[in-house]
Amino acid sequence: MRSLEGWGLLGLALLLVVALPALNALPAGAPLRVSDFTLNLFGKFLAYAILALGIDLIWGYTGVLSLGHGVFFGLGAYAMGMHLMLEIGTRSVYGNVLPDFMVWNRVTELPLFWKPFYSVPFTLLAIVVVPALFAFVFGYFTFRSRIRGVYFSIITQALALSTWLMFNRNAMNLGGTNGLSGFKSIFGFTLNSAATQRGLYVATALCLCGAFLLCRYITRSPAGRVLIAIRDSETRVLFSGYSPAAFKLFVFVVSAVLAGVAGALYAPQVGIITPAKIGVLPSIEMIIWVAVGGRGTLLGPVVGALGVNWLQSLLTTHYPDLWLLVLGGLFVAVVLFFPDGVVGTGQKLLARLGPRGGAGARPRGGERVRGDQDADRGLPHGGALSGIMNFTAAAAEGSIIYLENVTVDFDGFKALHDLNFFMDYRELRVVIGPNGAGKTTLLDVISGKVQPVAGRVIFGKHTDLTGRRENEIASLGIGRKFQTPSVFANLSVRENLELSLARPSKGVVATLRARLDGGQRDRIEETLETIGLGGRGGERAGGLSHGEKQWLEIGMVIVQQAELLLVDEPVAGMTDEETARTAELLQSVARDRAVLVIEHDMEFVRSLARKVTVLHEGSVLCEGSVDEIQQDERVREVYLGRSRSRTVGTHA
Amino acid sequence: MWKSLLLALALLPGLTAPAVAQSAGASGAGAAPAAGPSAEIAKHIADVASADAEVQEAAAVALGKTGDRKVLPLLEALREGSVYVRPLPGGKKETVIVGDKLSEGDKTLVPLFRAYGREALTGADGKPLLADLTTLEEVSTGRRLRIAIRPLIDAFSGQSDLANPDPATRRAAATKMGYTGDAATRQVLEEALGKERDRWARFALQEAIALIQLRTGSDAERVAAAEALGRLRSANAMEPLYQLAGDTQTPAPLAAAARSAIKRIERWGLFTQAIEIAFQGLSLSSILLLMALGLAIVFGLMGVINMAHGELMALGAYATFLMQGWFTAYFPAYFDYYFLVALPFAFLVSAGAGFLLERGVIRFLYGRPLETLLLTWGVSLMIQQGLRLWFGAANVDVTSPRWLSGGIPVMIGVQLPYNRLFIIGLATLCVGAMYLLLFRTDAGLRIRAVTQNRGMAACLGVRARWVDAGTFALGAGLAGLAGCAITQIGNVGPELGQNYIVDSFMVVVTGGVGKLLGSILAAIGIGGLNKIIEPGMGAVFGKVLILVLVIVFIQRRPAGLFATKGRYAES
Repeated sequence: MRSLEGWGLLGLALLLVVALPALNALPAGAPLRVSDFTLNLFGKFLAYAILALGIDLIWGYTGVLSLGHGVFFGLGAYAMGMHLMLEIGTRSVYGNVLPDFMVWNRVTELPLFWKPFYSVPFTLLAIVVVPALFAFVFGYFTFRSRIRGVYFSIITQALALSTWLMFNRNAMNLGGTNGLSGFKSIFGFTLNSAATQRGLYVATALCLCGAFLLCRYITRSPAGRVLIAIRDSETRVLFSGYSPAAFKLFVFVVSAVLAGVAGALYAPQVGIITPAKIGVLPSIEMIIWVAVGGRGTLLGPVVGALGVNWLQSLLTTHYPDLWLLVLGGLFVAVVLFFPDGVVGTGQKLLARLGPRGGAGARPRGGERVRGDQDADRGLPHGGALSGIMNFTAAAAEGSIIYLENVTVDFDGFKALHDLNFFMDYRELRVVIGPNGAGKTTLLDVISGKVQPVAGRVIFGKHTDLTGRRENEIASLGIGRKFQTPSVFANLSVRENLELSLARPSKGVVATLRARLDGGQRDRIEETLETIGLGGRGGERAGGLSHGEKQWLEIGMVIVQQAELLLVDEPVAGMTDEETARTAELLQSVARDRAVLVIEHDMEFVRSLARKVTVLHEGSVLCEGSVDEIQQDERVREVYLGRSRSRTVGTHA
Repeated sequence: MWKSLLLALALLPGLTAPAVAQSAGASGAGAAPAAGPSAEIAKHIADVASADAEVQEAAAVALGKTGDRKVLPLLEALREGSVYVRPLPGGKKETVIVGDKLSEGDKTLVPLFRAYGREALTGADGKPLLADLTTLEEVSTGRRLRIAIRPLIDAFSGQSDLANPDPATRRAAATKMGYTGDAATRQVLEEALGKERDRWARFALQEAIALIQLRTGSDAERVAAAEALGRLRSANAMEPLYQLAGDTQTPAPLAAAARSAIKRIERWGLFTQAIEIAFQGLSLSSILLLMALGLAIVFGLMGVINMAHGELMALGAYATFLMQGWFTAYFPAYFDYYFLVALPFAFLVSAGAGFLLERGVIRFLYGRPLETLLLTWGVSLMIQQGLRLWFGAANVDVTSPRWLSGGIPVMIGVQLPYNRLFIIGLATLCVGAMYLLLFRTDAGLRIRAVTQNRGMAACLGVRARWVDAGTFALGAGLAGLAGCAITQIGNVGPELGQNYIVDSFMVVVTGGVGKLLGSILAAIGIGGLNKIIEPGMGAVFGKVLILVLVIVFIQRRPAGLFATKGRYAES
């Protein structure tokens, strides 16, 4: 199937790159000849397809909807356009070396920022670097401050609007509303000739192939899985040790570069670039190409860009009034009825028809469902774990985590108040406390989600955790399991674990190039056994039951090789049987590392804990064994005063 | 429109040429006009037709000085060039005014009117007398004469306007007379001032008197006038004062007085300008607030990004346009009240469209904000194109009702237009009503309940679907109101919504989603900033700067002005 797909793509590429221009080169009147007009139109569409690939990368895969890609397209197009304007030289209407619009605007000297565009290498560089730099600066601040979802979309729309406003101004010396036009030649070749246009077309088609391969490389690498993971659960990605901001920034810049290249190819083929191409409306129109074609697939955006634009050129020639209605209708129809787009829907249909069933929407190479261990779903003994987890055994004495006088303030409400808390290496500790006691905040402080206003958090010997980011803390060896299961629903179970694997570096470049070695593969398989999901590694994680998702998440924290595991109410919503299994699992995990569990279920606590800490109003009320705690007067008081249960019984 | 503008421009030099402001005869209520002109007036009427320009002018001025209202038509006719002399039997001649030309065959006939009082001349048969134009002798009126006549006519109309019961008319008359009047006019104005009770009319009278004094008084009077104008902070006096201060011929004390008056007026000008900017900002904020209120409800409470909100606003504006058309067609007598009917109508139209939108498509997309964004964008394109096809691509014309034109003067040089005041009031009312609805009624409780926990609310018997639809319709209706309001201060075209949607979203995200107070402050901030930056940097840069500021602000505070901290912040 993979090779079939590959051959199909190769065929398509040959058709676009070789066959179409060859048919165009036929003498006029020959049968099957592709007219210059058609080829030029296709060239424009293929440029759009490059842009659409970039948008797919950021929106389809990563789930970040940018409504400002027209800006990057425009930057590339204007960079190319400026060079082409200068190439006109004295062939212009006014015969001046300055572009006509400058003569018109009474500009007497070429503005400084125009001058480097005389140089071809500089122009080519600018086409890539200017959009990249712009995207980097904008993205850096935006992603760093964790603007996401619709906020990001609205902000990028504002970016498109303000850029459009600026480019419309004559004072920018970029031609104002009329933009740049009247190009005569490109790099010395007359634009008017069919051969040059054909050359431009081939260049565009080759660029599209290159862009396709680049996107394919990215999406098929582990980094591509991180992107999908970001779409599913950004928080989980963060606590798996990756910086979602860095990955998003990377993809944003890549997609901006693709947009810039698309713009640079667009300008000479269409012969004009105006601000109308970079505003709010064109920016959002680009989204619909990807949506119609099928987001989250690589073929989709190409198909969508070609299809929608073909439809547009058809309609605007014959029924110009209808186009906006049809475009609007496309938005509505795609969102409501075909969220997967043409390609996505096609794939689903194929998957349903095909004998292999629909394990995942996007089959990935090298993924085989193991069926041999299905029988035994029970949890293995601790022995199975020791082999893969003895790396922490040599840990030194002393406390693994030490919180000193920590205070957390939520607008005056002190969630933690002068808290002192520490845990030993390989200790299994349960923290209980009434609602609002600060249990989850305690985990938040340790894992970096919440910054304390006062106090220190020391991990291991002397690593101060305050002020560090979540992914950094995760990489240091602190794993966190959330109360509600947060797994990457659109990845397979195995990929979920793969993503969480401890890696020397979880930076973007390292992740792009990361390949699994034998040891890591074994570790994943063993962990699958440990969490009772042996043989189900190929399944989509979104399809697991609630309890299985919880175990998968615990598994993810295990392969992260964390020295300290933070587990928040793992058995909430589980059946008794599942609860018992989870207790076993946690105990076996705790043999080789410290585990901090928050739980309400006292049966579960009793089955787990050697030592229990009771939190009350943000500070430690008391610590001790389960029995000691249950005898403690203060604890009874706290619970009686705050909850309706009579004792610290089974449902504290 | 263009023509009148050109005309005004062409007339302008004539108006300001100071040299010829000869005299405006208004020597009070002179001899009660009898049926016919007195001998003196009759002589002047004859002299007006003289070929000698000086005699002509002197006669016209003398006529003006009589104060007899019956000579006014003649003066006006002189300005228009419709005064002729017709031969009478017996070699005598009579000055007449001619009416609109009629052609009959190759002859051009004109109806004739008496020069005194403009009564139609009738023939022996009692029918209006028509004369062949070629038999009449045209009285030539040069530019000089026309300029000399103008203040005379002004004095006539000014005098009657000064007695008008409407203070605004009195005010305008006084100001006008101040520009052109002379010593005689000044007397009239002073008399009027003695009787005037209205504060702003008094101000205009004082200003006019001082202006006349500045032009025509003795040296001491002129210094006093300059000082008075400074005290009055008269913006109208800036130009003559500048001239005095700049002219080397001006006596030193007068120049000094003029300079100090200029300083005073300028300082006041800065102050009033600031107030005006603040006020304009406030009214822009109100529009934004009305828009953002609807958006915030739908976005904050329901998690739906409604990109079609701008088009719902446009629907409201077009509904107002339709209502205006219906009133013109069916109830022209009540035209002034169309706007009162249009307000609820616009609300209902937009709310209805919002209801259909929610029931039709949006309800399938709860919890998927990015999808609603794309879908509603599609809907917005369709509505926009629909409006364009139906009403045309050009802007449509919505006239303000009379009670919304004009404004309240609050201090010298500051007038608050009624339409903007109305919009501010409307926005305030809507915010208040929304607050009461959301936080003081059962319906509001239901809305908030569904917002926070749909499932639980449904279990408790709240009909979540209808709450959804109702809330969405309410938000849409508010957009409709905003659209209705915008017709009074802006253009109405198919792209109306596009121009406001990004700004409104800026307000929502800056204020913090679902925060009423945040939206209000953000609307005031963004609207105000817009107006503050605009004069200095131009509209485009101002807008860009605001967008950049908002983007930077969101970077600093991703959750807006009023972020919820703590355990519910992430959910």
